[in-house]
Amino acid sequence: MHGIKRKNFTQELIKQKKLKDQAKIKYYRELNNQLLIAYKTNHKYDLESFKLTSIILDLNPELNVAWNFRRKIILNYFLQNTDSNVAFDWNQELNFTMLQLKRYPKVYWIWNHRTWCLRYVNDIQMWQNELHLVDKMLAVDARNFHGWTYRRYVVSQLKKNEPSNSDLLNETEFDYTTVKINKDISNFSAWHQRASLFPGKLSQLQGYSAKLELIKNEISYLTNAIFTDAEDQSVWIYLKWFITDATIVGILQTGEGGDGYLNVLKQFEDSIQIINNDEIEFSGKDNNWCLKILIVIQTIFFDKLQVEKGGRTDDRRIMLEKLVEVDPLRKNRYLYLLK
Amino acid sequence: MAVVKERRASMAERKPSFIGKESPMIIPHLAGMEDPLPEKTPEEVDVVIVGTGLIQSILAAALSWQGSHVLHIDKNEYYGDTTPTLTIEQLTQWVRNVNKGLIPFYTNAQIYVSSDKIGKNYASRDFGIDLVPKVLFAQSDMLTLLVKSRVYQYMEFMPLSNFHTFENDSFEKLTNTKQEIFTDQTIPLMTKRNLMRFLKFVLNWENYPEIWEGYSNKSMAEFLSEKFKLNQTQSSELIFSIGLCYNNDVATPQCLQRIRRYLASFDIYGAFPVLFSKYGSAGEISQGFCRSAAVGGATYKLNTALESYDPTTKIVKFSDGSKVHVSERVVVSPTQTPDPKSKNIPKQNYKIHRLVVAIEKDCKQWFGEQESATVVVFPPGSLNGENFEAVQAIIFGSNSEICPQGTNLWYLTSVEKGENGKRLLDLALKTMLKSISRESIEVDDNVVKFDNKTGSPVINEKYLKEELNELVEPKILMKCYFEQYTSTCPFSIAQPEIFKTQKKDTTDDTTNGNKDNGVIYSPMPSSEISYDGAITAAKVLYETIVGSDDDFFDVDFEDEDITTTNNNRMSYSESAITDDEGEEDDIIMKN
Amino acid sequence: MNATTNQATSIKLVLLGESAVGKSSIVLRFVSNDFAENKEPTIGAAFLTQRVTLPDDTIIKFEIWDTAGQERFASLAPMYYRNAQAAVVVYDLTSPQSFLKARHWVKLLREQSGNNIIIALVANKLDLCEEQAQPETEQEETEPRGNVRKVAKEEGQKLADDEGLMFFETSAKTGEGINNVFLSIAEKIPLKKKGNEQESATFNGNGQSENSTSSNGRIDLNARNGSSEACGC
Repeated sequence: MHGIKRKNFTQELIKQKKLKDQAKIKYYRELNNQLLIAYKTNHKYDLESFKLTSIILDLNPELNVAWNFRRKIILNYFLQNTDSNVAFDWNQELNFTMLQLKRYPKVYWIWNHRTWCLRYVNDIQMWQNELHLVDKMLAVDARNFHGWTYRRYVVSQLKKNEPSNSDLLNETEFDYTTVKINKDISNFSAWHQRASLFPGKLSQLQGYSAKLELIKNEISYLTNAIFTDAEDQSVWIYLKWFITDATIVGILQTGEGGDGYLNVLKQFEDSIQIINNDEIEFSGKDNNWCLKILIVIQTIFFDKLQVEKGGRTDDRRIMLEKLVEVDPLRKNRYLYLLK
Repeated sequence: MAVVKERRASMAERKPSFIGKESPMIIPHLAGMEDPLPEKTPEEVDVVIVGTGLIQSILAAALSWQGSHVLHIDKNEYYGDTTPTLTIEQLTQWVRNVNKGLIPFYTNAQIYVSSDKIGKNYASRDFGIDLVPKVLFAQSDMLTLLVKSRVYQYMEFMPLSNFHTFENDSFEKLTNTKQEIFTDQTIPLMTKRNLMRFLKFVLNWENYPEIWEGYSNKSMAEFLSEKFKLNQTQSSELIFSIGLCYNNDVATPQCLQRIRRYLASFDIYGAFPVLFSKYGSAGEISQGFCRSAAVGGATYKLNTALESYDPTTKIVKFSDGSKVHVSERVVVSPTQTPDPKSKNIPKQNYKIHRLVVAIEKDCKQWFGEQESATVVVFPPGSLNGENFEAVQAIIFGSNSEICPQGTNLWYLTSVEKGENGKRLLDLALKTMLKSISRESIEVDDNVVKFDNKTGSPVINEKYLKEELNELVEPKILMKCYFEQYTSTCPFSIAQPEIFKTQKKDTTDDTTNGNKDNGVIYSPMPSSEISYDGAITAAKVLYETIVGSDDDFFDVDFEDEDITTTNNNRMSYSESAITDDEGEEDDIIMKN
Repeated sequence: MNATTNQATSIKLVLLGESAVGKSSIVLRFVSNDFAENKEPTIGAAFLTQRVTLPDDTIIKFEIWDTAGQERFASLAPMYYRNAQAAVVVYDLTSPQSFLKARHWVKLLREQSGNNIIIALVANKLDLCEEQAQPETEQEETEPRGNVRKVAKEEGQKLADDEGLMFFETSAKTGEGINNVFLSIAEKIPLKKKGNEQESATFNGNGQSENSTSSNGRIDLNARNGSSEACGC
């Protein structure tokens, strides 16, 4: 009694949908066959074939053979032809890939074709536009690994085309990571990018005090980060790199009567202890990353810097034992370190 | 003479020359300008729903799509019942009706309309005033249903990112996103840690009973201060502005749920937790679901009231004399009951005070960039220490299309017990008016001069004081106050129990002359600022009628547009769901 | 080469008319070039969309709203009329009553939507008439032709002229005249509308992820931000 009307209607809909799908599949297969014949059998590089690739790529942009065919047509038909009627519009071609990318932002073949176009034309304005495009894509998905990789690629192309702008590009790229991290601290790619750019930024500065200031600012930034989110591995990994990087260490060591580096380490150690104690008070457990980084710091204190044990306590043994318990996956590593 | 069917033959048709003539008829010039001749009501339906308010409209759509034949009526000439969007003229008439006692469960309605502005500078119909203003959380069952049912396609939505809290005599904008906490240089590091820890916890709070269970009987404020070391201001913002609770008595799990609702709604459509619909809130959504129900087969009749229902014959009688046989149930809005004195109507024990004001000012400085609405909360105690319950306000600018250019609509709500509600709303209103005037003082050359020698700015204190004294409050174009009763306790959802009592006994008792035995009364709107609870209430009603809510809106609308495929070009997309954006059904027009 | 690079202008078009005049069939014919005899009254299609490409390559996308039966008891909601830029009022040329109602709808439309709305008056079921030359002699008149037309073309034209409407006679069954209705409406859409609509997503400069918000602040509820994949590479 209930739902008879609707169910019949729904059945009807399902039937129609099935028919529609079958028709779609048949149509696609036909197109595919047509394409293969034109490409492999007949090597038919002309406008009609080009339109065919447009249609089929619109349906399925992952069909790499269609992209290959398309490129061959561009090279052998459009670019060979001096007739103005068949002049090739690269911008329109980029627009075509753009439409595809909006629907399928992660399909590699589309990006591949796009970069092929850009490389072929190699126009600096186009590369700058490309950087804007990557901005937008990363705005939508800031942790898209492919996005960051592609960004580095685009920046490198820009540098190649205009080497005088290299420094400026480094600045803006570094600032970009700040923007991204501010938005979301646990953006591994952004921290990773930051680490790769920081040394460059450092070397661009002239004079010790300028470099020191940059480092001090970064220390503040990092401290802010570990307090705000002590759970995120990206921050700790960056921190670990930061306190062990030779250049940075070198600069720190030349200050404060040779104690610059030691003092920074102490500062971090204090902060991390506060964080860890707070964690124990709240949840009864240690923060594993705190333990790990404290071990790194203390190893530097005692093994590298040969700090007197009287002044500071060496808790490494205790911490490692704790880690063995709570992080059994890495047990062997800790046990190794215990020796 | 002409054959008379159910209707009176028109003038033209009664002319003798019409009979038997086969050539085309000449129709008199003005014929047809009168109202069309009435159609016949269906004689047999499954469910009759009386009142086109929000919950009933959702119910109507759910039932229609499930296959039930629904007749949905409303005694008013507009849609919405208790949740309509009204013009100033309609609102004025509504106030009159309330004061005549024609609309049960509303009292104390008053309205002021500026006669030298409305009808002159601004038209009544340029205003769309909701009796129940609401905002839509990005993460909510209402939004999900709007998308699933496709009703969202009938509407337009805009973002709302700014929430303000009134504390220490000033309005503070909420800064509670992770980004704001991270970049704010003034917040001490440990405080950042505490705040972030709470935010992380609350997003997943059910999974950490060890953290909050000990506080289920204590207040949320205690929980926040003891466990997370948050201070009074932070705590207050979390409970009242983010959680949008009315008072401190809210149970910890409930409050956590509400706080989470706000945070989880971020970044779904952008950097804002809440959306609002243009042209009206609950009134628009009611219309949307009614349309959905109509598309699904429901019949709609406005200007029709319920006269009586006889549960033994299952005959429903209407005010226009027509009747219908119902195979299942009759659902009635308490405001459209055939008998306001009936004991069958559930008790409506909670009072909601509402104030809506149209002012001649654009409060742009309170809105986010490119936005046109904001939420303002007055936590308990913030109004001279007098309010025990929070006052919640929503402010809309003209881009919301509910008020004309250069004006704003302000909604204020209070659930204060006793008789203080109106006074507190007025106080809150006054506070906001003062603030908005102050903020728009032009700081011009008379107020700030630059010292000739040092070049530093010098404020002319005296002049500034004069300017402040001359503060002109924005002109009030319309002001309306009323009280609404509801059975739903503040920040709780409609309880299933209130429907169960109506199911049995009254059906048998036909001797006492009740006109509403056997009907199910739907709930009155709650004081909740979001749409939470509306769908739950509709589901409870649905289950009462159908037996279970398993198939509530269990329809696939994806391929609704089965007629849009064109055989020439089809789109093969990964999801195999065609939407018109991907369709290439061009009709190339040739000359 | 690629039509999708053109920008489409979206137009809301509302349909009005008594049930059984064939307004749904008209739309069905326009949208899918299909016609179903004795089709059950529309269930399921809240609105249909169809694009029209004009001779000068501009694209108009019609968003066609059917009344879903709410007109039967004068219960169309304000939401129905809102922002409608065009309307198609249909009557059955074999039913005088439906013509009277059409007149009523025209009046209502003018009340609700003012004078900016483009209204097309459409007389449907042309196929039922055997269109002959106008009867010239009395002899021809007395011979019944089985002509079921009850509303003269002049009547419709007059109403159209009086009210400033476009006028068409169509047959949803044969398709005659249908596309012409929509093409004519499309051609009348003021030029200033074109170019305002953007099909591409717009982004806000302050870094907000706004693929779901268009340049005028409206949000597409269907465009939820996907959850970012945390990449721990």
